[in-house]
Amino acid sequence: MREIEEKYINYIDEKIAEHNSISEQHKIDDRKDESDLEKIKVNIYEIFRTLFLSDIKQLEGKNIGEKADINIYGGFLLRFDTIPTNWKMSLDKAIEHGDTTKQVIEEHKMSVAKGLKDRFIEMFEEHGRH
Amino acid sequence: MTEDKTIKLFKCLSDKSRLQILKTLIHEDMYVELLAQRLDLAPSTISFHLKKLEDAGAVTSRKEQYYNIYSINEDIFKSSILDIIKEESSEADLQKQREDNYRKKVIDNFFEYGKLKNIPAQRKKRLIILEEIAKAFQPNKEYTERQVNIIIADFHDDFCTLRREMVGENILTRENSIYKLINSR
Repeated sequence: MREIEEKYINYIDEKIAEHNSISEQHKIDDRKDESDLEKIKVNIYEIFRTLFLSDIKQLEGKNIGEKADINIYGGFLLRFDTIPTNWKMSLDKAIEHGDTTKQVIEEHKMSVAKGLKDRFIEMFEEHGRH
Repeated sequence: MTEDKTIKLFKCLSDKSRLQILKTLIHEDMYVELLAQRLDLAPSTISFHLKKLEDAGAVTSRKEQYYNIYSINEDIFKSSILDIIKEESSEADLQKQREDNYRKKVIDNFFEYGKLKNIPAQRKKRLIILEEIAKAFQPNKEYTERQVNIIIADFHDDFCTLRREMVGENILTRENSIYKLINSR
């Protein structure tokens, strides 16, 4: 794994640890629902972590040199459009029907995906400049 | 208060954030953003908890201009815990509650925002969803097959299967291609 990829995985791992810790704290604090919402976030970070590792693995061993960056960048960036599609549909439905519980859950999932996408672009753009 | 409602209320109250919301609302009615500010929680988290409190009957809401204002439902908190415990339920009531709960669970699992997600394979569950769809039919009214199809299609695309099942389960009668809801429903 290259340095930039390792850096992104480390970032995701830090977020997982951070939200696991918040979740635990909420549980101790008798805020079970908020603890569960944090667990949902952790789950989303884990999904994108798995997908990122799988994208890297697919390119491993292929002699594509500098194109590795473009492939990883473009391929993984697409994931941020495809994966949240159903969440967005579910969110729209929830808003339409006044289903606050589902709305909050879908908003949390989408906000994690957005945060990961922004960080991914930021890291790879920074990497490209060096 | 039924045992189910009691359990729902107590489960709802056993959360620190929700208890803090109630402690704030006991002083004055409030809208989501103000509660979020006071309790240092995200507005979405406050909405999430208010929905649960509202479902459990602990708070009520009213619309004022652009805001939903939430108030504590004092009546529910006036009854003492001892009174709630003393309240007796007959075996028939308990049985009815169990059936209603099962029914609600099946409906919640198979319907999403009024649409049937899929047709249950198990007959007992299928019967419940057919009875739920039957609520869209008026008693004593005659329907053509096309009208029946249109009503059922609002719930699920496979209206033919559902229509036949409703006749087979004696929910609808069919005579000379005219359908009617069976009166006992």
